[in-house]
Amino acid sequence: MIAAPVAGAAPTLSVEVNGAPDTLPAGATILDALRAAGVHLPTLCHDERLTPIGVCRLCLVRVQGWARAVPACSTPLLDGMRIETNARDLEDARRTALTLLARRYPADGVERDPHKEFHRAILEHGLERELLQASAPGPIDRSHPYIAVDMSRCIDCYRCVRICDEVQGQFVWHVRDRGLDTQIVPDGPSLFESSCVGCGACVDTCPTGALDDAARSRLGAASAWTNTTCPYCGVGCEMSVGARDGRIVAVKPVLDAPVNKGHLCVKGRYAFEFVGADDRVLDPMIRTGGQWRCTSWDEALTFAAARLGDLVARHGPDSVGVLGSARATNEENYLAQKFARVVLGTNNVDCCARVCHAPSAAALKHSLGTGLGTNSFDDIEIARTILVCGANPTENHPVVGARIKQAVRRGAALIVVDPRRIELASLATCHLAVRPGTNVPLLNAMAHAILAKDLVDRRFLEARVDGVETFARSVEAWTPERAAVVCGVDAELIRRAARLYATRAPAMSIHGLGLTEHVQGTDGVTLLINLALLTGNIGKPGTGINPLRGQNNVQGAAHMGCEPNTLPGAASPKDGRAVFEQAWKREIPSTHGLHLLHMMDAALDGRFNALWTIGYDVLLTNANASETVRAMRALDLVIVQDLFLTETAREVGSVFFPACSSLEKDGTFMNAERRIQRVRQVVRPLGQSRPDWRIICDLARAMGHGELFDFREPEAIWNEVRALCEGARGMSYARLDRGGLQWPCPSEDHPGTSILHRDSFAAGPRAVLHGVAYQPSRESTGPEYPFVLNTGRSLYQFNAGTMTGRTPNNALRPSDLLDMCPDDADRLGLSEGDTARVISRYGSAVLPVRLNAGVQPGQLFATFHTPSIFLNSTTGSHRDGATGTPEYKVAAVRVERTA
Amino acid sequence: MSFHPKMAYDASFHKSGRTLTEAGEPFAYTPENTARFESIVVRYPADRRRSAVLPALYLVQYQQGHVTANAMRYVADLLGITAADVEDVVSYYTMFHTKPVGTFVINVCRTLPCALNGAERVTEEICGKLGIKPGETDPSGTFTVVEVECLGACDRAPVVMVNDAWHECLSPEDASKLLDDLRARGEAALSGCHHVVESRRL
Repeated sequence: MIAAPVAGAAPTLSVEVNGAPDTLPAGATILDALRAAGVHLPTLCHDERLTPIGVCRLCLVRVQGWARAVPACSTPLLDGMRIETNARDLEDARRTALTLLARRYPADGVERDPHKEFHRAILEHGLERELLQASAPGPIDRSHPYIAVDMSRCIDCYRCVRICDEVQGQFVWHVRDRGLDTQIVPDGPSLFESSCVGCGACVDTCPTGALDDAARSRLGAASAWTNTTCPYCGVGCEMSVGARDGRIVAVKPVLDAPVNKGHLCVKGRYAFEFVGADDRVLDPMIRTGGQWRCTSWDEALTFAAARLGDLVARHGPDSVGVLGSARATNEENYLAQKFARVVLGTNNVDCCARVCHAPSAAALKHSLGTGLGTNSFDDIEIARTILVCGANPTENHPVVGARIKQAVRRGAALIVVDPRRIELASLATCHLAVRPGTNVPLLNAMAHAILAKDLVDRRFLEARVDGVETFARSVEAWTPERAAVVCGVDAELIRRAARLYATRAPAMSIHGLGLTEHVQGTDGVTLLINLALLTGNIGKPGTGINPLRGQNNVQGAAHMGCEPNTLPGAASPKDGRAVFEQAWKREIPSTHGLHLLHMMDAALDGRFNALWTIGYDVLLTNANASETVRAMRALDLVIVQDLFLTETAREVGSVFFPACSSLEKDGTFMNAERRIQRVRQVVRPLGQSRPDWRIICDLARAMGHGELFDFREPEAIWNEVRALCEGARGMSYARLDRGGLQWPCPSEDHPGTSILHRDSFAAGPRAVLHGVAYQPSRESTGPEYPFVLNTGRSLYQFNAGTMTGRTPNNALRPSDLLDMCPDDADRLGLSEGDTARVISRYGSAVLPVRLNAGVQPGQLFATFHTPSIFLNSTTGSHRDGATGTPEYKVAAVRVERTA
Repeated sequence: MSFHPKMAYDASFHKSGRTLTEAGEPFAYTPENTARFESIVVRYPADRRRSAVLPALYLVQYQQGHVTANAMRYVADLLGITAADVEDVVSYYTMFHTKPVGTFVINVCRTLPCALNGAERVTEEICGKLGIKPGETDPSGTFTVVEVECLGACDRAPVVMVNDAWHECLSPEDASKLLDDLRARGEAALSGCHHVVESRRL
């Protein structure tokens, strides 16, 4: 019945809606034309995020010359269509369809939520009297902490079923029975016990409130909505945050957001209650004699300024350091490094990129000239092959994970390199389950296989790549057979993956900390880049090297110069010095500067005396916790700036500055695809808490440098960044307002850069392939420590649990778990739920065991979200050679049953 | 070393009001049916085993007369899909039974053409004679009466399908006689007008 678009149709379509002419782009539907013309028709089964199915029959329209009325949502618009929407018979059909639904629908539902789509349609058509006056029976499910189910209000539009399938790819909602008996049910006995991942997409699309945010009954409905960027991972989803009486009560996805396109995950959508948690610290504090006492901002700032000034005077500027925050905005990180360099006079400034993606930045900069991820998330839909290496996006970057799942459903080939059988591995064409710490031989063998079969992109190599011969020699010995022995992966599988990546173009590579948090972290990323260069998978749509950044603004923190050897805009001290010295009217120290791990080393040696840590719980998150504790205890002054009394503050803090969350301030974040997006204040800072930028400016003023930190609002700071960094020049707040812009964006008329290295590389026209020799991890297993422990994150908790641990996410994942394959558990006499002690050379941790067949024999996996478990007691002291990133992914351990 | 506040949220959530199909007896195919299943599933590509869900369920129903929740789980495991996926299929098709049924399942069409030609009278006659309501099985376990949607023989309404056999243009009197016949002669009384179901060809 639906007419196919005519081949060779004009790119724009001229149509007439109720007699008024209009033009629309090709590919539009009749419904698009109606909306563009401002004609309102109710729809119940339609959602922009879904394939139209045209079943609710409310958007029926008549097209002149067509025999029957057609649904506007699922009928493609054709040139010359004359569309009529308001004929009497169409109105009658609409009323009839609505009446049939209304007669089975409880009236109190409409009263409670008159704004829901179905309720609006009932009210607009004056059908209140048709509604069921009794309360209708229907399954009620209150099992899930976030999603309330009341199926007495279900009208069988299937939007929840479809959005779960087509957007999240989770297939939770099912249709049971048919006709009048149809029930929408989850794939488990209750939603809580189903495979639901809590993304809330079904709630968002539900037109009646049969599925609703459970928190609404507790927190009330929002009275105002503000768009901002999610405070969790580096995907950078845009969301709309609802507030009521100065309190955050709800979050919705933004439909036209460039990254998430109307989707969110359980963290972004639901885990916001940490903002008002009971134990949020709302007053500045000073610790004297081991006791914290609340004080005024003036006293805390004066105290900190005096102590810092004193230590700098006594031990020199390089005895102190600042840690910027991946949770803070670009503006604030810019100020943090400016504070270190200008006020303190040291390059001792770093951020948590050190412990995650510093190897990615280092390798990308070395090979391609800039340390930034090369492509965009939109390339996921373009790529024909996706290589996911050491990342678990469906848990840690769920919106990207969902996009990858959908791409695979549409036919993209997927290669997963991961020791565990993660969710994506079950969808993968090839799953290379490498032994932890053997990425380098695996990637060398893939290069070997590509070269051996001559699957390289010759033209690309000739035009843009040097060092091919040398590199080929470096991988000559790494036959897939040899790698198979080292990595524990079948040689044929390695060849197959290599062939896929090289020949099924465009191929996109996405990697995470499973590649970087190793002693060979930078080497691993270098080899991944080599694969892309060899096969010409760089500088084109659907290709590239794309690090999935862990935290909302870790990319921005490093990019704004919170690294000892980087100035804002990722400028090297050599190139950038002149610009910044001129602007700041101060000399930038020429010392090399200490990165975070070196600060710890220096503290143990007595060469480092004070640390100001902004939004960063060093103690809990650094590897080898006992050594970190010793180092931190050796410091004379630890200024902690955070929302909560972190472990760092609790153990070693001297001064506490209460900061506020990103939902309480303005600024910008930079996501993993280099997109700068606005962060907007949703509620006023709680109590005496202040945004980080204000605190930095206050302390600078207290230390006598107020003139360089005289900012009234974040926009002024950003404008200073724009004046000094060419890549930001075109990104005014006004231009960033909708959807943000991707770095670099050098002028006001520049559209931003979705793909780097299109025609030449940042460093020059040609890139060089760097060979890498494999150096095995120094963590060795043996009779005493027979298991390899791999650490990582999970869907429902985030990093050290500082935020998610203060939300109902705790009900979804109450504790860290030790994942172990059933055979190993059997041998150790452990069963599900038993507690076990994990003991490494560095320390031990006690946590519950979970049997997980996705973990290989001899390996263990655990998350580090629960502070009381303190898993980092067990991680080791080995570091990536180039960047110092600790080897979180490999620790030799043994497991003992606890009584 | 915990700084997490006591969890302020009630973890003792109510259970869902949803009712599941009763689990039933543990289920496994007989060796013959396992062999049949294996011969069916190879007709589909290895990564499309789920496509065999209908024949896999026919086998269940031929083996135990109806499909229990345990059997759905068994089929789900065989095909690598979720039990909910199987339940969708079972609940959609009226020819799958989730409760034990009689020797003869009498499906009376209730869709418009049959209804206009007196299908309701046919249902009344059969139910009255057996002393049961639609959806029930008579005490002897011989007959189960089900009202179903279109059986695809509208030109010969009203239609009744007994097991796999069609009985068409049925008056209430014809229906009454059919019951007597079935009691007296068993399967031989069926019309012989069959739609060949795939599993019968195995």
